[in-house]
Amino acid sequence: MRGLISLVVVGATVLVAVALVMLRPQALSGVLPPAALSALSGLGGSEMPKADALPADFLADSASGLLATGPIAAHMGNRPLFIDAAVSGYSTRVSADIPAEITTIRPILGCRLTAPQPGSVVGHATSGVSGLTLALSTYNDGHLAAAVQTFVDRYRSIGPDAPFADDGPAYDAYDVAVTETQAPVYLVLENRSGNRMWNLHLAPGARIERVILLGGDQAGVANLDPVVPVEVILNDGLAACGIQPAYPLNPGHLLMQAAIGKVPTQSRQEAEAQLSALGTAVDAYDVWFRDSFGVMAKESRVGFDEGTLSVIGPVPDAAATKAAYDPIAGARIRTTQDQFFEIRGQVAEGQDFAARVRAIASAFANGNLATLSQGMDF
Amino acid sequence: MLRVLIGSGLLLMAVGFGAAGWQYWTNLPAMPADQDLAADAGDVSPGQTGWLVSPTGGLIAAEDMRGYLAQDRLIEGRIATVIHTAPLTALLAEDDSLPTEPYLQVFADIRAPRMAEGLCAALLGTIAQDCAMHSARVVPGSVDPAGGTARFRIDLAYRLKPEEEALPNLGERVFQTETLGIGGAAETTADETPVAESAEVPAEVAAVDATAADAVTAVIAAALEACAAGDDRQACRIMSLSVDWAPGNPTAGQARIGWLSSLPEGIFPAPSLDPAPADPQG
Repeated sequence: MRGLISLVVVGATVLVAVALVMLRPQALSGVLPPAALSALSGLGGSEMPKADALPADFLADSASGLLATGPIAAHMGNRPLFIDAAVSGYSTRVSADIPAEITTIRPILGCRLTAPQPGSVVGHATSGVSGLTLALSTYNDGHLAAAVQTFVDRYRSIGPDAPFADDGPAYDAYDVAVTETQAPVYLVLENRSGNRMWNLHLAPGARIERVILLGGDQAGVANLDPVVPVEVILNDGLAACGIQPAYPLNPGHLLMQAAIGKVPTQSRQEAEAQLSALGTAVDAYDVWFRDSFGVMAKESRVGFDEGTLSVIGPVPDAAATKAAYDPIAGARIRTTQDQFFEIRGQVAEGQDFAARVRAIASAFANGNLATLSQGMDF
Repeated sequence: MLRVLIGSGLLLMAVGFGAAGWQYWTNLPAMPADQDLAADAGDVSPGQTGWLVSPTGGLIAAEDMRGYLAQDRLIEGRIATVIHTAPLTALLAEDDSLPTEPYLQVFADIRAPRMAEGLCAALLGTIAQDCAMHSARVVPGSVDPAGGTARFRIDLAYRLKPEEEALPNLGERVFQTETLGIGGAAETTADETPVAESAEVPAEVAAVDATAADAVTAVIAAALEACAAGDDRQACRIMSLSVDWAPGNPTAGQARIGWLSSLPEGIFPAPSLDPAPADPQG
């Protein structure tokens, strides 16, 4: 009997272990507390650098750009740095974070930004794909109309049981740690596309002079002192001003590889012509950037094509001088918004994105969604 | 202890193989595609041999064969496609108004079935025994907010009226098709299945039609005229058609017709491969 009980205990343990390996700890996110999940994720080993690993081991020079594949941040010269060397308590669990206060800001009128003060340090962070999707979204009639079309297409292909719980375009977070404490920092935060929420983490003694948000559809900043001014030019504003952000490509980029004849599907001449056009755009952007902020864009940028954190300033030499991670939960944020703004789970019934989409589709179908069905059953 | 260990092992194996078997079972396709095709092709018309041959002796594609022979039901391949321009206000009901510009495209797409009105009547009044709307969509990107118009694509499935004369013996005929370009190239040629025996034969049609339904009637008339024009075209049928119409513009269309004709000279039907009847005395 005792042997049987032992066997059952051993079997159950093995099953749980296999389940964790197969499903990954994230499958238990609704069951286990975040701390336990974090510990389990750590056990996997993929996020934990080995003792002799270098930050560069976690930076992939890929066909689509420079990709952070481990716990690294972008640092001066756009070189990789282990996150825990600059930030304490870092976390990427932001999907349920709800800010305490949201203030709407608007893009500037015109194309001229306030220049940095003499003696201040210009910090320039760029963000690509972060994957840190927040519970905040903002959208307009164009997004709703596109979603209604998606809803109609799904209804027509699957039928009335077609699931539709889409959200509007969410903000993706990107972290910026400021470890520069010798001078005020003039922060230029540049995004390529989508809605971006820049989350700041300051080392003790760090001061922010001004924040410039460039690019993206909408942009905001979290954990910034309310007295610090913020100026914004979004993608449409940059285009209206004739400004086209551009940077040199990494050596492993598809276009660079094509230019040296290593991509059989792409012509070498075509790639060279594209690179030449890109070079012209890079130079033009550099000139505008230098005229606006006093530094060259390609030399000052700190940020990979895929990653979650840029560090502005020197690597702290002691734990006490590291930037402490500030969550977006309970933070004060300032952001531009589109026509509608939504916090997931905090919207009145029937007022969320999916409900609006259904309501519009229903209204267009004269109240009868069944009329959307098409296609004969041959 | 050993028995328990062996028993547990067997149990685990049963669970593992059982799960794998279940996955295999659930992933099996409901019916093999060939089986489905064979069932469909064989179900053409009672009394027919159910196959057609081209003048070069090649077999006719199953889809074409169904499009020509299977007139007892609506089928996927026999479609009349009508692309026409209409004012967006035609989509409105009483006391209705158009939505703001970002929504015009999806609004037109949802209300597109209204644009099919009268089109089936044009088919039923000429060649069709039965007609039903298969789909009605707005052509992507065709909404013109300034002009207040959009282009709509309506697909109608139809089956032909029964003919007075029964089909001749299919084994003694060859099947041919022809694609007629009527009044200019229609925009739907890409959807058509290419067939080796098809040919482009331009035909003239009345320059401007008052409505999309009139344009359908005109294209059908031109196709029927082409059917009648051939000397050796028996049981000529309209297998599909497409019409492109805009108010004030000449109608453009295509019609695909199929017919039976005599075997080419020097070709004879093969004798039956059935076994010879048994000799009553032998």
